[in-house]
Amino acid sequence: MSGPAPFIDPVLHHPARLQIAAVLARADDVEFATLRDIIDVSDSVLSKHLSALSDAGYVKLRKAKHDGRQRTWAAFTSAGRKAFAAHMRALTELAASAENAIASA
Amino acid sequence: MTPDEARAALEQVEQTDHRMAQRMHWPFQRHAMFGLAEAMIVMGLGISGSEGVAACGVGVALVPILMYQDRSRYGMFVSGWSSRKARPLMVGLLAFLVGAIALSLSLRWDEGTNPLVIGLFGIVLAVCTWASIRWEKLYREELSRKAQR
Repeated sequence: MSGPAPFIDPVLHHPARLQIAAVLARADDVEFATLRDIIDVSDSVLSKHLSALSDAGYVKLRKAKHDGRQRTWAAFTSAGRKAFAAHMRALTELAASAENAIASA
Repeated sequence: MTPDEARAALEQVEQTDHRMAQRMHWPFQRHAMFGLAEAMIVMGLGISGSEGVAACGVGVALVPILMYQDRSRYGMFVSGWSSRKARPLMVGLLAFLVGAIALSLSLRWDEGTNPLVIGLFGIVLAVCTWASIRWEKLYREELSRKAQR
C-alpha cells in the first residue's frame, strides 16, 4: 500500500527558484548580487523569481544601506523554510520510489 | 513531476550546496574574534565596577561588528544554527557558555579583579575559537557531502 503522493510545491518547482531556496536554506540572509553569482542568472531573472517567492510568502526582501550602498537582502520566512523542507522531502521520496521500483522489478 | 525530474532537481540543489561550500571560508581571525567576543562578555560579568561593564560592552559590541563584516565579505550572514550537522556542537557551546557565565559571576569580587576570572577569559577564548573552527568544518562537510552523494 502506498501513502499519499509527495507534494511538489509549484512555487519551488522552477529550477532557479529551487536554487535560490537552496542558498537561503543555508544562510540567515543573502545579498542580491551574491545570490545572482551563486545561481548564475541575470539581475532581471533573479529579481523576477525573488518577487515570485516573496509573493508566495516564502521570502522576505529588505533594502538596507551597506558599505555606503543600497542593497537588497533576501531571507527565508518560516513558511518558506518549511515549504523548502517539504519540497525536498517530496523530491527525495519521488526519486527513491523509482529506485525501489527498479530494485523490486 | 517524474522520478527522473526529481533526481535532476536534487542534483541541482547538491550543485548549489557545492558552490556554497567553495565560497564559505572563514579566516582564523574571524573565529578568534568570535571567541574574543564571548570571552569578553564572560569576563566582564566577573569583574565589578566600570571595568566589568566596559569589558562586557566590548564583547556585546563585537557581535554586530562580526555580522557586518561577514555580510561585507561574503554577501551573506550564516549563523551557528544554520547547519543541522553542527547543532549538537552549538547546544554544547551554549551549555558551556551558560556554565562559564555562572562561574564568572560566582568568582566576582566586590572590589578588584579575581585572577581566576582572567584565567576563565583565556579558557572561554580558546574553547569558543576552537568551537567556531569546528563549526565551519561541520558546515562545509554538510554542504560537500550532499554534493558528493
